[in-house]
Amino acid sequence: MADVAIPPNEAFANSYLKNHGKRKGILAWILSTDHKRIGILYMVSLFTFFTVGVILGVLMRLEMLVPGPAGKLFTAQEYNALFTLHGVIMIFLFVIPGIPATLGNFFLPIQIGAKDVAFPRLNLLSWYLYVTGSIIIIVSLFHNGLPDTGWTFYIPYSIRTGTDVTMAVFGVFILGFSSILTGLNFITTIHRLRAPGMGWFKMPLFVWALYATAWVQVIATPVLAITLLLIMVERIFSVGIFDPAKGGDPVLYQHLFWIYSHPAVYIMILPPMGVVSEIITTFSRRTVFGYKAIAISSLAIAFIGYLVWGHHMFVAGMSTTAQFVFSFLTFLVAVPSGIKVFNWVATMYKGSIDLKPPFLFVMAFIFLFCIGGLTGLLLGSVATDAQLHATYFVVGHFHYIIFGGGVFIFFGALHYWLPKMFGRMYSIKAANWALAIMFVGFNMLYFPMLVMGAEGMPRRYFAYLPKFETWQHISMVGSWVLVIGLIIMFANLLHGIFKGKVVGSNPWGGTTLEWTIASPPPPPENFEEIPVIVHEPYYHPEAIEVK
Amino acid sequence: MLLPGPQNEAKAVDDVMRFIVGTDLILFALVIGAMLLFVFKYNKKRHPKAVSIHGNVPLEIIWTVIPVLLVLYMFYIGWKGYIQTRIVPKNAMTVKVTARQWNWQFQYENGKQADTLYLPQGQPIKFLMTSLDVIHGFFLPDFREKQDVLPDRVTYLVLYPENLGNFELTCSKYCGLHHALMYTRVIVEPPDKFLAWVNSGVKDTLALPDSSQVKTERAGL
Repeated sequence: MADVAIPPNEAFANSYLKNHGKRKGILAWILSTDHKRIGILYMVSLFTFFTVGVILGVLMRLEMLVPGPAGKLFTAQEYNALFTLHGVIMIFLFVIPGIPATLGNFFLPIQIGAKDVAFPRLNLLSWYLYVTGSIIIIVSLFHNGLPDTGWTFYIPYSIRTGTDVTMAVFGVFILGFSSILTGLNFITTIHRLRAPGMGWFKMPLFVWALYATAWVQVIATPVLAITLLLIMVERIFSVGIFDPAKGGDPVLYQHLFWIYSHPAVYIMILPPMGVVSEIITTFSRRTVFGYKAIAISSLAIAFIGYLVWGHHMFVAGMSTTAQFVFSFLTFLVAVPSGIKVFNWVATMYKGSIDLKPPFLFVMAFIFLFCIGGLTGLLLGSVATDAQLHATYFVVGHFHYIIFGGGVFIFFGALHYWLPKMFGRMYSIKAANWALAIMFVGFNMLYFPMLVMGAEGMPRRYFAYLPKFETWQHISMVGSWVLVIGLIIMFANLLHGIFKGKVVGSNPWGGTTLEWTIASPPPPPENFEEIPVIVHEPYYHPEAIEVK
Repeated sequence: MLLPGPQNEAKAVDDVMRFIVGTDLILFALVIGAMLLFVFKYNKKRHPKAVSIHGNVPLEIIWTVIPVLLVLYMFYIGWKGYIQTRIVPKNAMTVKVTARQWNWQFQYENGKQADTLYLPQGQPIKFLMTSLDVIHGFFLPDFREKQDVLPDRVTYLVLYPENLGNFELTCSKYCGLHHALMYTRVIVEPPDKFLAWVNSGVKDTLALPDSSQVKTERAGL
C-alpha cells in the first residue's frame, strides 16, 4: 500500500521536526512561525487541558456514587466547582480552538498547496493569545476561592458569588481574539493562496469546513467583546444593564451570551464534519458523493446557525413570538446536517471500503452524531423543550454532539494524519481496541443521561433522588470504561509518534495534496514546487468513473 | 422513557415526544442500517473495484425535501402542544410563587402561605412567579412544565391538575450552593379538602371559581 516516492530516511533528515532555524531547543518551537510547528504547539496545549477536563468529568460522575445529600465524596460547593471548571476548560480551552487551531493549522496550507498561512506571525501571536487567555481564565476562577458559576456565568448569580466574572470574561475575550485572528488568517489564506488550478469547487471539503468555521469565528466572536464592554460599564459606572439590582435585565445577558456561544457550537462541529468527508472518501477509494451539497451545507449551517441562539432560552422568559421564530429556525438548521449525513453514507455506496481505524472512528461518529442530532429535535420543539430543558437530557444531547461527534472525529483525525505529521504508524490493533472500549464506555456514560433527563433529573445537582440510582451508577461505570479506552488510545498514539514503524508518504492511499509530500513534511515551505491542480480533490484513478 | 401517569398538559407534550422519538428511531435505523450494509457489501475484499459516483440530483432533492417537511411538521406539533399551556383560562385560580435561595414560597388568593404546593383537583391554576435573588427554574416533571423565575420580573405558568397525587417540584436553573436541595412537593387534593386547608388560619375565605366551565374552557383551546 505504502507509496514510498520519497525515501523515509530522507524525509526524516529533512523534516520540519528537525531544527533548521538559528534557535535551539524549546525556543525553536515557541518562536517558530511555521504553521506545522504552531499546529503542534496548539495540540500539546489543547490535550493538556483536555486531560484536566476528563479528570474533572470523572470526579463529577464519582460524586453520583450515593444519592445524598449525606455521605457524599465532595461537598455541594466542591461539586459546583467541578462542573464549572469542567465546562469552562472543555468548551473554551479545548473544543472551540479544537481542530482548526491544531490540524487546521497543520493541514490547511498543505491541502491547498500553499507554503504557509497568509500571516505566519499573526498565527504565532494567536497561540500566545490562547495561552494568555487560558491563564487569565483559570486565575480569575480561583482568585476568590472555588469557582461556582457554571460555564455560562449567568447573571445575577455570577455577580453575587465570589467568582470574578469580569476577569473571566476578559480571559474569554482574549481567547476570542486568538479565535478571530485564526479565522481571519484562514479566510485570507483560502482566498489568496490556493495553488494554481484549485478553483473553489476543487478545494478539499476539510478546507470548505474550515472556511465556513472561520467566518463564524470572525463574525460571532466580537459579540463577546460587546458583552465584556457592557459588563465593565455596569461594574465601573454602575449603569444597570444586566444586574436587576441596578435595574438591568439578566435575560439580555443570556441573549448576548448565546449569540456568541451558539455559533460557537458550529465552530466546534463544522471542522470535524470536514474531516469526516476526507476520511470517508480515502477509505472508500472513490470520490465523495454530492461534493457541492456537502460544501454548501457547511455554509448553510454556518449561516442559519447565527439565528437560532434563542433555543437555549425558551423557558427563560421570552415572548411566545420569539419562541415561535427560534423554534422554527432551529428545526431548519437540522436539515443541512441531515444532508451531510446522507451524503457521507452515500459515499460508502459502491466504494471499496478499507476498515482502518480512521474509518472506524467515522462510523462511530455517524452513530453518535445521529443520536446527538436526533435528540436535538426534541429540544428544538418548544413543547418537549419545556420538559427537557436544564435536565440531564440536555447534558446527554450535547455530549453526543460535541464529544461523540466532534471529539471522536478529532481522535479519528489524529489516527488519519499522525502518520503524515510524524512519519510513523501506531499499532492498528491497539487503535481498534481503544475505539471499541471508548464506544462502549461513551454510550454507557451518556445514554443513561438521556433517560434520566426525560424522567426529570435536573442538571448541576450534586445530590439526586434515589429513583435515579441505577442509571447514575451505569453512567459512572461508563466514565471509567471510557477513560480506559482514552488511556489506551493516547498511549498507542504516543508510542506511534516516537517508536512506531516508519511509513511512506501515502500510507492510506489519500488523494489530497498532503499525501503527495514527504512524511513528515519538509520545512518550512511544504512543497519544493507549488503543484498545479487538474483533478477534483477526490479523484481515485483506479475507481470506475460514473458521471 | 416517558413518565408514568401523565397529567393533562403532559398528554400533549407526550404526543409530541412520541412522534419525534418515533421518527428519530426510523431515521436512525435507516442511516445506520445503510451504513452497515454498505460497509459489509462494499468491503474491499468483496468489492475490490470502487465506482466513483459524483452525485444524483433527484436523490439529493428527495433527501432535502422530505427532512424539510418532517421538521416543519415537528415544529408545528411542538408549537401547538406548547401554546396550549400558555393560554390562561378565565376561571384560573392565581397562586403567587416566590423563589429564593433555596426554597419555594406559595401564596393563595386569600393570603394563605405555604411552602408545599397544595392544589385542588380539576381547577386550572395560574402561577405568577418572581424571585427575590437569582434566577430559579420552576420545574414540574410530572406535568412536563418548566418556566424560569426571575428577580424583578413576573413570569407565569398555567397548570391543570387533572389527577389526585403527590408530585415533585424542583429548581431547574442553577442557583448556587443548595440548588439540588431546592425541592418541594405538589399535592393535588379533592376541592373540598383543599378548601378546608386553604381557609384554615386566615381571615379571608377562598372559594373556587365555577368548575363547570373548566371543561369548555380547555376544550376551546
